Amino acid sequence: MDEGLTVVGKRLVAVDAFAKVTGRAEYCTNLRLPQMLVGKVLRSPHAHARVVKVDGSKAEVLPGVRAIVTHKDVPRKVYTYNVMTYQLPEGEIQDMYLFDHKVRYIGDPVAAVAAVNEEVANEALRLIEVEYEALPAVFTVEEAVKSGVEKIHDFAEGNTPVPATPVFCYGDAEKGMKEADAVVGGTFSTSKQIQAGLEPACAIADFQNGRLTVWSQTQLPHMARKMLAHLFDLPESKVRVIQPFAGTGFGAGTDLCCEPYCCALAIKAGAPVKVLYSRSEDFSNRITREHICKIDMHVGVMLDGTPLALKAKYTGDAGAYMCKTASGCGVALASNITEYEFESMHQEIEAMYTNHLACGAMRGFGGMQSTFVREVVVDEACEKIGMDPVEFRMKYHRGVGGLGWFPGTEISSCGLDECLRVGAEKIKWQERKALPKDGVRKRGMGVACMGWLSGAQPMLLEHTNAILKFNEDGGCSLFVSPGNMGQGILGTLAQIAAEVLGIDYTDVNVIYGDTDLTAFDIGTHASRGVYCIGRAVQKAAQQARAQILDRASAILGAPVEQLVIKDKQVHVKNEPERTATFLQISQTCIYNYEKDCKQIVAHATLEPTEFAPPWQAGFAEVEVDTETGVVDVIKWITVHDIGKAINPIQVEGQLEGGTAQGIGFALFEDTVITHGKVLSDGFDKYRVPSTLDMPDHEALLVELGDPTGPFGAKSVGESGLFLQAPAIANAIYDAVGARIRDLPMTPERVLRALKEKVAV
Amino acid sequence: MRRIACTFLVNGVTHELLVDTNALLSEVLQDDLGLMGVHVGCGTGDCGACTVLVDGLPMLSCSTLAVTVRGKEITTVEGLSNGAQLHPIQEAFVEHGALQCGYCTPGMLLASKRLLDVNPSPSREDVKGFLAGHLCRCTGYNKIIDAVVDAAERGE
Amino acid sequence: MLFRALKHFEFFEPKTVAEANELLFSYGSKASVLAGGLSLIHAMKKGDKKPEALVSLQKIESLNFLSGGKNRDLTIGALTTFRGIEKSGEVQKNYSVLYHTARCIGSVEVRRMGTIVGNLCEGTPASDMATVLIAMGAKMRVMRPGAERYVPLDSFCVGSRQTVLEEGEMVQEVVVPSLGDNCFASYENLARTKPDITKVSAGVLVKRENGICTDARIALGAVAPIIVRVKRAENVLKGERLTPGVIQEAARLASEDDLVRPISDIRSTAEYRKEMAGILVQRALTNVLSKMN
Repeated sequence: MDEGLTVVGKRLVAVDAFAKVTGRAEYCTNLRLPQMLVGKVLRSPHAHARVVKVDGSKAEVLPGVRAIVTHKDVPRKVYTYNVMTYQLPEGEIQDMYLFDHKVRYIGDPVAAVAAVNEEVANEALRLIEVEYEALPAVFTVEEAVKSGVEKIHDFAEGNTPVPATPVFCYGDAEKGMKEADAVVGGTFSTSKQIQAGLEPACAIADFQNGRLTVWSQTQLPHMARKMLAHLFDLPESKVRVIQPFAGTGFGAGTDLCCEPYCCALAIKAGAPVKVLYSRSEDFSNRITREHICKIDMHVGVMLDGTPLALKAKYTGDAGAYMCKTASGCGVALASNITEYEFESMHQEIEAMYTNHLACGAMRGFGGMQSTFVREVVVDEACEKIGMDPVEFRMKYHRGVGGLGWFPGTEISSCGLDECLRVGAEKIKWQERKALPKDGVRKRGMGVACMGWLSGAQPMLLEHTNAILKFNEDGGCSLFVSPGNMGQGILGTLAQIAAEVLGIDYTDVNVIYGDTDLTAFDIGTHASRGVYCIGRAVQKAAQQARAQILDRASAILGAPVEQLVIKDKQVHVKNEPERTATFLQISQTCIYNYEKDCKQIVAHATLEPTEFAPPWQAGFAEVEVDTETGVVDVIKWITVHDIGKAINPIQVEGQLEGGTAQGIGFALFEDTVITHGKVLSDGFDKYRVPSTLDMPDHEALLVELGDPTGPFGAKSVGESGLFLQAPAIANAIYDAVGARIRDLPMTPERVLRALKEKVAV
Repeated sequence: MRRIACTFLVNGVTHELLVDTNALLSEVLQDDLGLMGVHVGCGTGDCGACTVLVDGLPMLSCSTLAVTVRGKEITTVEGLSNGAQLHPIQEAFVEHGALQCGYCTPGMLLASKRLLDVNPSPSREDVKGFLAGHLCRCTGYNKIIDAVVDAAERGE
Repeated sequence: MLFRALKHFEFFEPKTVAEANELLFSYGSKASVLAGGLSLIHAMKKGDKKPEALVSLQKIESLNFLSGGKNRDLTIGALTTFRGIEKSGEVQKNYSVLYHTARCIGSVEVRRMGTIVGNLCEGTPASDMATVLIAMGAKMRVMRPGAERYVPLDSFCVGSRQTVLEEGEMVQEVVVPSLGDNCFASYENLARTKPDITKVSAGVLVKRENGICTDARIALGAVAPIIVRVKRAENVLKGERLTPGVIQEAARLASEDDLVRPISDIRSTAEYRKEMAGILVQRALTNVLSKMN
């Protein structure tokens, strides 16, 4: 399928890499505007309290203070950080107010100040007087639903905004369980992972002539604009969201963070304001991964492996605000549908409020929690019926035409067999029985696999636009609006356009990151960039190509059907001397003295309906120290069915980076909250993997194409971090015979599991 | 003393500044000298993003008082390239895709430069050890290690 | 000047220890000593320390030294960094345990900036270096205006982050007794990730004469508010030949010692720390045994 491709599939350098290696890249944190003020947020020391009084009068008169904002200064409007609410007709639960009368977690903002410098701003924070009436707080989902407990939100009886609800059920799971030869499963827990981008939360806002401009780390600029417009009673056209480079992402940019406070201050101060969170403030207040705190899952299979039924119940600890907890649980359930040919499925979700920091989204949204549990349970089933886990997966995964993640969708391609085959060979799966099991340190091997999605269609609105504009030199500008966290989307989209147009990758100048310049786009979430935006780019490029051919047809006096594009030239088939260069064509479009000017501008709108699942197999070899419980990952292999890698460097980069986050999630990343206080509020306490913590790891690609993707491409954005936890858990079991059901799999937990095993 | 007249040789240019004694090196480089390549990730010395070279040695600018390095030669990522000509380490990072969001990149590049200054042909383990204090949340480090090893091979 | 994380303070750069002592004495509790600065600046950012005066030792050239030899005590000056220890040929050759302990700090930059003495003065029970140096019988040379005293490292801390240093005092150097031919030391630790702060650790030193263990010191880190020596475990080794059985017994006694009263926190659990104290003592002593052979 590589035939004739000149740009797609090539290992090209990222277009923004030069700015980044020379220190010229602009981020919110290093941008400075003239007369910019420093904004700071005053936060609640209480996990749950009524705000009786906020008095900023002493702070207001402090020299150098330019604005104090409290609930009195902003319109009282219900909203949510979760700007993805606009992707559903009925929206999602909105339960936040800017500076509410109640605070619901330690850190909930009650006021903000803008001052000429950080020192004055800090002093002003100390001068704001707040009177609280403390309320009883709850810190677990079990406590939250006890009778007589203080309600966190008035509308949510029993602190349960999402009571246990069956979702995406099919077949008769009860019957399946009864008929199954083996039923296995149990209760699992997962951690509240944080995105932990290296750049702390930061935003800049400026309000001039009735227009609000916001520099933001968002991944969803147009919907961020809509939410900010709503919050401050402005028409969307009066709000402009600019995305400089972002040193964070991984889902963090799918929710607002410091933008609302920054905008409120800028509007009041009439000057640009930067709000920059300290690392501790970031880790304690930036909403985390959707926290599915508890999953109960069982599967029933026949002796030959036939998967009859899957039953599961998911519990989400939303924290103080709903944001993405309910949708995270929902996606988690949906993701279970894609993987195996279960004859029936019954799944329920519930979500509770607690006085914890709320949850947003992180890479692998819901899917990775499901994948962890499902892949461990499947491993148990294989053991019970004596079937090789790789063989089970090859035999019973869904294939082309099978049920997709969301009711009504179909699987358009599946390269999982190839992924499993390549991975098993690479890690020497067949030789795993020979791994050393004597002595204190024992080795084991584990496998896991998954199928995911390329965009959240058809569940969510996934509206995308791409505009291509040709200049007089035959080069073009491509206007798109993804989130740009460095995942390589800009260059990848340029490659797609260049391939269609027959021009060089460097001829395509990608314009992004400004809602005033770009057409509407949902932005980047749900691994949609290359698949959804890429398809729109492909379509726009095809339209531009048609316009180029039309113009060439007129110049060359030959019908379009006889024209061929090659090396930035259009020539008549079999008559290479009858040629018009792109330069000539473009010039006649713009500087046409025959009264026939028409610049080549193409616009494509796309709302994909297919979901093009990428598939993946992950293999781990581990060594478990049975005296200390320490798990060393010796080798990690990811094999990913990408369909077609538009730029293999970027695809590998996504997967390899995912491996690090997945190992962190598996082994040590954990947000520790005690009595509502986030204790893991720095990189010294919340550990992410360093160079020394990474095993020998590699990412291999399977490219069999997808009929719906641009040049056959499917997604990779989130996929990299799904399989480490389950494959490592399965490898630990292979090594020492103990099942770990709680993440992260710390030495403390591994050792306890080893003891319980001995005790049994 | 609350302010000290300081001379810094930053990326080859001499700067004479009256520096608050409480100013951090990162703050002076960012605020006073406008060097956008100085990235602070944690402020506590745990991530390495803010690393700059002080007399050729990688130091954490977020945890250094500016006045304590007065008179010294400071190199930030802006000082690595020679005009439009990238340093071989910068070239290798670009070509290997050794960066994604780019926030850790300046610190990674400067530490790597020091490594190659003292060890012209480091092993992958050497690179891992030398960069252990530099967190990257995007790449999983493989391509960073590839780039440093390759930059070494490109050197003289 | 948009951003300034630290509050103002008076800044001093004395050229001699005596000058530093005078300054520290006159400012008393309002002064802090700046050596490498890493933990001090961190503490100031968090507001845990609010010094009105910073007394930098960085201009006192005489404090940046490391001296000693195989049969001569190792003396580490107040400005000597972890990197300095690690890079020292002397340390690599004759005090390899210190080389390995220094490298428990993952970040090269932190090792380059952080000083050994500064780390010891922090007084945290998780200090790798303090744990091994207590096992090695190190002592602190404490200076005050016109006087000095030596404080054994195992009685330097009186609580977590609390030391015996009085107002006006500073540590000029730490003195590590030579290992000579008869002493063997080892250090073992566990941490969540390789460069993370230690969650539990053990430092051991065994003196062997004529095949018999004539002295032993075992220090445990991060199992109590201060680093503790477990003397019952030490005593069980004395007068014995180091064998796996004796090691086993010492490890058990170490773990069960009354002084081992760990807490559960963000890095580990009390139960795990207590159990691992024994495992790490066993591993450290086993390592000593293999060094002897």
